[in-house]
Amino acid sequence: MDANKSADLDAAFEQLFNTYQQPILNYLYRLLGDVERAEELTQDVFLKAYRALSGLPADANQRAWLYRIATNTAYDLLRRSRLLQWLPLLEERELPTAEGSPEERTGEQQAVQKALAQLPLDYRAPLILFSVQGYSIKEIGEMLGLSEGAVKTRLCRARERFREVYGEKR
Amino acid sequence: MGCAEFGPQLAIFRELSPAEREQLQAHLATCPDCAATLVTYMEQDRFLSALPVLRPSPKLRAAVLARTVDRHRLSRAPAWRWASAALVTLLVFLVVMGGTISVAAEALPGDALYPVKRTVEEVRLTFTFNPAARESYEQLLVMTRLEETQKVLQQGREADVEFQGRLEATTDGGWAVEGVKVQIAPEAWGQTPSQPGAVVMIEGRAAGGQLTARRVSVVPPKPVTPARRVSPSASPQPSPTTVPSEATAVPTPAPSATEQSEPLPTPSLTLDISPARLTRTPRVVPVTVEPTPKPEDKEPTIEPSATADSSESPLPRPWRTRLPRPTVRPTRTPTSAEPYPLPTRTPWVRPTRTPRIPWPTPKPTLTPEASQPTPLPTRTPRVPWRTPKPSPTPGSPEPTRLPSRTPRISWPSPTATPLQNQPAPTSTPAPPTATPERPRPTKTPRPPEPTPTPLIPTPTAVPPTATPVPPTATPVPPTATPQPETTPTCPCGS
Repeated sequence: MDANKSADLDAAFEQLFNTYQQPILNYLYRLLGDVERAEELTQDVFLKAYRALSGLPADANQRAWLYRIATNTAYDLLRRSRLLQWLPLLEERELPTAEGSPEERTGEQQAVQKALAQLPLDYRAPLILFSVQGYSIKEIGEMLGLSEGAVKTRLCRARERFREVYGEKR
Repeated sequence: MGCAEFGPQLAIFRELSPAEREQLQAHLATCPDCAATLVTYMEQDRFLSALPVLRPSPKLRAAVLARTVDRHRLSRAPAWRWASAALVTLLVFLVVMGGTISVAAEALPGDALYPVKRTVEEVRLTFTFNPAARESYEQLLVMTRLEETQKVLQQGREADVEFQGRLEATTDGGWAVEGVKVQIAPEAWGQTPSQPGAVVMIEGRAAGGQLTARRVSVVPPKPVTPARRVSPSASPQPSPTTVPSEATAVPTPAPSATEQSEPLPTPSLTLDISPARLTRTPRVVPVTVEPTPKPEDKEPTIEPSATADSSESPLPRPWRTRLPRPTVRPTRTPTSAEPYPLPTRTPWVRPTRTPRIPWPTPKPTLTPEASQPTPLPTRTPRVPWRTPKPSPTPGSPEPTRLPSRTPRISWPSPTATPLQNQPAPTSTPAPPTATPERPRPTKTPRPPEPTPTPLIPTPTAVPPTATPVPPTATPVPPTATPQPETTPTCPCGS
């Protein structure tokens, strides 16, 4: 009985991983601005998810649950590594470029990524989830554990801040 | 509603309901600042959505699955799977170990598996607690080391060897230990206090069939090869398993004054019997020998040539004869009063080892050319004089030792020789080189036919080379044999 349940759990996790490994990886990459760290945190996120999957209610929103784990993991990492120490490293590194030919690479992508890196964490996550990932306010509220109003407020402030930072760079 | 109320709606304009959108569009138509802000937000969305998308690497997938699903799959494997895997592993290990040990049992020093062999022996010896069995096994190991050394030397290998055995002879340059010739390295000369008879441990290097001892030590006599000495009065009787013909007689190098200057310690006949040897080759040394062997019997004794060899070599006789079985060591010349008579077939024959016995003394009575100096034909003519079998002359050139004896080979008379009908003289093999060296009594009248007496086998004193006369030397009636045709075989032209 337990073996069958465990096998079902493994199958569910494998499906979850196949579905969300790329979105979670890109989300973490937008948050952190570093590919290697994003991959390391992706592993950690799915390990945590695997351990907690058995306790997840059947009707729970698995996507929101997974993004919350990713956000909290990224927050923990940024808090540990002190954001002030992490940002200069980001300045020195060359950001990954877009797929395809070199013509597709634009300076705006690097400018956008650097502007994102300068946003506070509380603003960065809602903006990424809303603008990049395309989730709704309600879903973002579930992912971040916030109310819809709080999400709207943070999103509005994030846009204003981004406009300031990005406008200065342009 | 003012710009402050529409500000948040601009940030989430995608989420607005249709009614909210209509209200916002009405405001944007009248407020260019809010319209510009909306354009800015829409550009932000476009920029952010245009960021490059990462694809997860295969390493990420493998790492995550290995730490989650795959690990659990392994941990959920049934117990019988683990047990079977462990059993298979154990069986493979046992088979490999057994095969290695069995193969290593035949290893020799220098082989890759030889350390395995020694380790197995050590382990077995360690766990042998019965004193008798332990001693027996130690004896077996001693013999094993000796056999390994002999094999290594026979095969000409180069390896470090060690063995122990009884020191049989010593010379300036080396030892003979259990039949193994050992060269003593200079650094080991200070460690050579042993006298013949002691049990020594030899550690050295074998290369090209030569063994050079680097370290020599004397082993306490108790555990190694307890030799049992039998006095002559004991006169060991041959057991039913006696193999007299295979007995090897090794004369002690002491009796000959020319070979070894040191006198023998005790003039007694000793019989050294190693227990290990007895167990391996249960043979008893024949002390008494039948006095009348058949004439055609091959003599196992030391022939006169052996005496010459021993005088040429700086080493005593045991250097050249391996001693695989118990040996008889007569340490002094037996007298007639001893329990066994002067052996004619025993390996130890005193007269044969003294080459100076003047058996080739001048023979004036038989040949008229007695004044002619007689070269010592004791050794050289042995080989060529056997070949001309059809020689009809049975004359004995050795009157001093065998005056009344006929030669060992009864030479056929000229009329009875089968060469009569053989016209081709070249068919008879001529003695190549020894014939001109021998005095050729060509004109000597044929001595009277000696009386045929029973052949007394005195092999030590009667080398067959001394008796016959070259075939060309004997005047033969022309009607009997084609003598003129056989004589041209002589290179001297006579």
